[in-house]
Amino acid sequence: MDVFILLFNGLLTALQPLNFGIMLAGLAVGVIAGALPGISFVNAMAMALPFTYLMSPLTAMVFLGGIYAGGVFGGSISAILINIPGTPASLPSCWDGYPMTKRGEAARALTLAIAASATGGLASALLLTFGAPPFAKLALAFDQPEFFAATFLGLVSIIAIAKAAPWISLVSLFSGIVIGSVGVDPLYGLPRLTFGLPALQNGINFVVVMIGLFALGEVLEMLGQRAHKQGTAGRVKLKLPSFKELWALKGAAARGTGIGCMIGMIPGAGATVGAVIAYGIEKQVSPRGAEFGTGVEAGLVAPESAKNATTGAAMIPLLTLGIPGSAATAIMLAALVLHGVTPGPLLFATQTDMVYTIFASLLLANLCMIGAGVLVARGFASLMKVPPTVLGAFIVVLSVVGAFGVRNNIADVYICLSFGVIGYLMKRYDFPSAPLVLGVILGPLAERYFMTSLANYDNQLTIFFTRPISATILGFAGLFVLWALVPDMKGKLMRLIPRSSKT
Amino acid sequence: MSSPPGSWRPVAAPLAFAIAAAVLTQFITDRPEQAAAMARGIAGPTTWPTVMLYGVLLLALGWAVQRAAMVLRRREQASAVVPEAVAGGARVWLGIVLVLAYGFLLPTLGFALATAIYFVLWLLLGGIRSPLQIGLTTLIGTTVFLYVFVKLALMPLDRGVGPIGEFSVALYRLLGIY
Repeated sequence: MDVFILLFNGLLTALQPLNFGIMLAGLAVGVIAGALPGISFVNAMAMALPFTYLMSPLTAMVFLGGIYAGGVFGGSISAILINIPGTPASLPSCWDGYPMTKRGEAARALTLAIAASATGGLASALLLTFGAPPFAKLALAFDQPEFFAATFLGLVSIIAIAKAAPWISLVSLFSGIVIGSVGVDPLYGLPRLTFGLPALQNGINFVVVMIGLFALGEVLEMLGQRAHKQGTAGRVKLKLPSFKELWALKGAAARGTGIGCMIGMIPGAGATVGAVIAYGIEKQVSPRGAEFGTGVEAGLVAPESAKNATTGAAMIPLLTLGIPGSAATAIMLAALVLHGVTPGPLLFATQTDMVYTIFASLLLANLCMIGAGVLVARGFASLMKVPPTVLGAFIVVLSVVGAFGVRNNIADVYICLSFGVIGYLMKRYDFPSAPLVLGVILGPLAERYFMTSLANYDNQLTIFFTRPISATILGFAGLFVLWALVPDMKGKLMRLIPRSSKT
Repeated sequence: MSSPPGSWRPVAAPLAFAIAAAVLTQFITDRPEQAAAMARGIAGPTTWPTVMLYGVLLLALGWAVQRAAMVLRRREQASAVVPEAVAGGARVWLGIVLVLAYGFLLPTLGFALATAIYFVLWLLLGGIRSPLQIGLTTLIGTTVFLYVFVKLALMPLDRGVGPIGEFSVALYRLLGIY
């Protein structure tokens, strides 16, 4: 009962004009920044951090929380409309969202994505509100082997997506992991695969690879098309789907939300892992799983729910333990520390009002995201009337600036451009790029957790199987692989065995 | 361009991956003795990339076998010529050259000048011929990017070298960015 009263009071504070206005501003900034290819919402949060000096700690958190909630969704707008994920977590949204756009169903795809994101985000905010302290205890049980197991599960989810072309997809995935290992080793400090080039000492950042492969690759593809001078006519009218339509997708939304909430709580896992796992599982579960990749609504709804469901869950270890699980929550931690607020168990005891106002504002942000998402999506959809050549010019400049902005290093621009050419060639020769990007994103994480686990546990490889949580997650990964591959293998075996003739 | 049914060209890509992976395993680090000395127990600084490269090698060989089986099936079936993917026309390659030139000339020309030149050339390449459209897009695009990223976001984008650098600073002062 206390929680409801605290939440109600928090809601009243969150609805005060200043706090509500700041939250809306953050939401808008987040959605726009997330939607712009090359500029991520994490950059927006980092740029907004100095502005929070002028705010109270509560208002600062409300502002950054708004950017976070909006930004995680925003990447889906460009993913669905122009096949360029605005954020890494929106990558799965390209797979079924963009085919829907090509079919003339851009409006439907965007509204489903908005509704799914809001659902996942609301559920996650409720989990944060009511489940933070008990789930914090669970988060304490996680150590490096568990982080590795979760990242491994994310890598393994590729198999469900890559069933149609497993060999080439796995080559792509492993190549991405190799690319991710370029640079100085995280544990020993030894440069690997740098070939003596100083530019590669800092490694190859996954954002730079993603911008190059998807944004630049897509723009070059657009240039080669006949209709590169013409935009699409008409206005994309956004209408929220009916309750009946949403209810038909309740399974996908529920599964995505559940996966996102679980994965979001694991520090280091993040929205990308949640979205990919949700897509992989949905592909297995859905009766239309074989059609995923052609514009199936469940294939869009599941990862959308999952990635926004990670937002509130990711704030659980942040607020309860002071452990940021991602770059975004690290920036929020910086904001708290700047304002003299120490996150952890004492925060709930000494600043209860502030904590529950943050919870309430995250709930409001996810509700208001429906409106903000519709407005920004409408604006972006009108960009489709712009000739692709003009749009492409802006995307290239945004990509170059975005790549530069990652580390203020011109070498990242060169790497981005190189991957742009590679991305175009991959598209032309049907070499899958999504597994490669996922390898670049998750590979370094997996390596760090794996090597740190060995260092912490006396080089025992068995530690991943003797720790119960890690063993359970790895068990899930193994079952998932079997679940994904066995039906196909059975089918192939049946075709090989000659049928006995009936006499 | 298309490949004849019995052509082994489809096997070239996986074999290239396999060979590249095999070669790279020998060049993971230029300090192998140091890497060996750093290794504790079963893993060292080169363990992870080595394992992943061997993964690429084995999977590429599997891919090559799959492609070889496909080629053999086509030979048996004597199927029709299969059209091969072609990497774009002249416009795309010019676009690639332009994008690469834009990026590599950024430090020399500076962001403002390089972006303006890039806009003009890209729009011309894309078939836009209206001077008004090209002029407006270039002017508005470059100015907006300068305001948002140099003035607002305070990104240290290159200003160029020598006289071009001085031109960039003068332009920023004119626009009120500096």
